[in-house]
Amino acid sequence: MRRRLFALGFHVGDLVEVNAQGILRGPLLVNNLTSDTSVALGHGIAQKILVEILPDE
Amino acid sequence: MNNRFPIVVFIGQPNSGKSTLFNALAGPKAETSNFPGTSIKHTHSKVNLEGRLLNIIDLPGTYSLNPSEPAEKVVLTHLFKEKPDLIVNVVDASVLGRSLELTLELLELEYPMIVALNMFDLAEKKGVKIDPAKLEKRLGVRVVPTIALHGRGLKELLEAAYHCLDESCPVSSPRWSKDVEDEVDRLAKSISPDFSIVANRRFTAVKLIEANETFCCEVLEEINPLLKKDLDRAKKNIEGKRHAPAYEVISAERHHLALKISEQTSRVERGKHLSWDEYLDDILMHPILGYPILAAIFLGFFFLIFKIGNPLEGILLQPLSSLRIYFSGHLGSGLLFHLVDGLVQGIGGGIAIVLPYFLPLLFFMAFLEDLGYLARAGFLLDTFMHRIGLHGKSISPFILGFGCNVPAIMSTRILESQRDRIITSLLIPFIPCSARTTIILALVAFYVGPVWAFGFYVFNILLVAVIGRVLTFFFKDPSPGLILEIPTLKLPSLRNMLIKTYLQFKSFLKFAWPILIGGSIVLSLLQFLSLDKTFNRLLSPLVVHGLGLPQGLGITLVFGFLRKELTLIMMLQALGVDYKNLLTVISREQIIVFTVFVSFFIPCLSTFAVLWKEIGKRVAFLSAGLSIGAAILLSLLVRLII
Repeated sequence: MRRRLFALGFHVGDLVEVNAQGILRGPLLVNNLTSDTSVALGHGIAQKILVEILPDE
Repeated sequence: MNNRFPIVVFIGQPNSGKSTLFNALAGPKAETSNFPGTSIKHTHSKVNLEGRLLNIIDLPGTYSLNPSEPAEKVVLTHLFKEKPDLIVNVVDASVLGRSLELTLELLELEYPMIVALNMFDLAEKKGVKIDPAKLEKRLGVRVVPTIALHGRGLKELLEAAYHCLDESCPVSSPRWSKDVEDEVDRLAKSISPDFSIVANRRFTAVKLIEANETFCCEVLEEINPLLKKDLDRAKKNIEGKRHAPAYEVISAERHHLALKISEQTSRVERGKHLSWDEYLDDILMHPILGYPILAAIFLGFFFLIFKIGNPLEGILLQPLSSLRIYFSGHLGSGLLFHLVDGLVQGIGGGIAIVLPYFLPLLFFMAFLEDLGYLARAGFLLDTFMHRIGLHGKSISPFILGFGCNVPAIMSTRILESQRDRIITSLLIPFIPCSARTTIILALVAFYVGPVWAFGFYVFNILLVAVIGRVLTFFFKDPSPGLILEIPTLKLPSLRNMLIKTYLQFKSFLKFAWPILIGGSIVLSLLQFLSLDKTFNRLLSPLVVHGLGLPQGLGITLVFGFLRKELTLIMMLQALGVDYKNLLTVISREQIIVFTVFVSFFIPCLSTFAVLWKEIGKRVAFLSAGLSIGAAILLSLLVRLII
């Protein structure tokens, strides 16, 4: 799973933003600002990713 | 493989436009769409370009050379087996940073290579200005900006390709940070010459480090314990320095290098305003609004096809029935008449009943695909897929299934787990494909009303959910989570949509129509020999007593196995009426029961065959049994309710 995320351009230290969320614990639409990709992540996977919330610029 | 022609391989990340570029060069051959993973099979083709023959291979998209899906493994096999003379790396310029990761990995192969910087216009629209010359310098290979959709940059790309084929264009692998590079280097040196080296020593060493535990290391332990020791040491050294798994370190190295290059070679000029597609996406993917929009789009889709097909069907049927009356007047009722009648039914039925719905359906499907909406539908529906125990990635085969079940089952190759493949493949035959949609439109919508037809569709989709829930109950296994790339919304090009419609129409002409005509003639012959009555009598317990349908329809159900549309054409033939007078011999309720039965009763012959080939004999028979059971149960139920 980690490999798959790497391949899609998601790496440790990237800046991401959550753009949309499906209803009923649905998937998240995550936009990676560092590599400029949008990916839909299932809830199970999204839950396992540690993020740090940055103050709005 | 024919070695006289240079082998050129197209490779790139999913949805980077390889197939569009391939089509632009070779003429319409590969199917394209704005949906990651459209090309599941590779397309091979010998192309004559400006007087020279090339063997071009369009490979399925892959994010990296460390495959995790069965479809991606195809890519590797090809790269290594066929030893391409030239790699054309197709890069989506609008997501340069990420796309370069694959480019860097390909450079490690040190095969001759050029880069097609595709969708250059899209990148500019996004406010990203890329300097191809600078990029060329950083990568050390030719970079040609292209817009495959409009055919721009193709000439330059060809020139670059021929240049590389005629003269050598050396490629050298990019270098990473020194600490990692030292370890890789040491490992590369320790690989003995008799070990099978892929591409070059360094690449082999890197791939050994990146490889999966079970795959590389247990095998390697057996065949080359010395190398295994070196490998373990290299991994340990890297891990000690970076405090992360070695494969992650290597992937991160590529990532950072890719980002660095992309930053150095492009300038972002985007202001603060949202571009139209981001704004639209906010609405389309809205957690609440998204669903009514999804429903509205499909409802509109459905009505539009009906509104186009319905009057056409009426107009086209007129001459067909006059033709039949003409023949019955002139040829009497002998063998000749029956043969001619079968032929007319087969050809005319195809033109008048199937095409008015089938063609618009293909066209609008192409529109939704190219727009990029289908991936968004997958995102919205993922929640419900989880409820039935599958994840959103199964959505893409399902959506393909609305076109035709056969490619849908093939595309289950994008699913990583065998369990998901089996469940998805068992469910696909329940998805109303274009043939069945045609039946639903031509029978239910035409005679009973479009609202009923739409209701039928909704019911059908609910049924898929219910059966899915039941199936996942039997196959309990955690399914891997969803990671699905969402492509940018693109305004579809009319040309591309027409090409796609044409490609599918051509395969309909080639494979389905002969069956329709042949089937009609066979039925005519059976009628002439009065054999149809024997069949019908055999089936009558089910058809007449169970389903309450006219006895004459029994035989059409048998033929439905060949091709679902055949049932539709044969129905008129078997009942001996023309299209306008159908309601005199069969009631509206009977039409619904009949449609329910035909839709579900068995996967058609091609679906059955592809299930057998792709997943296995057991699944194919299981699917047939499941369908027959469901069809009988449901049509009985419908008969009781209506």
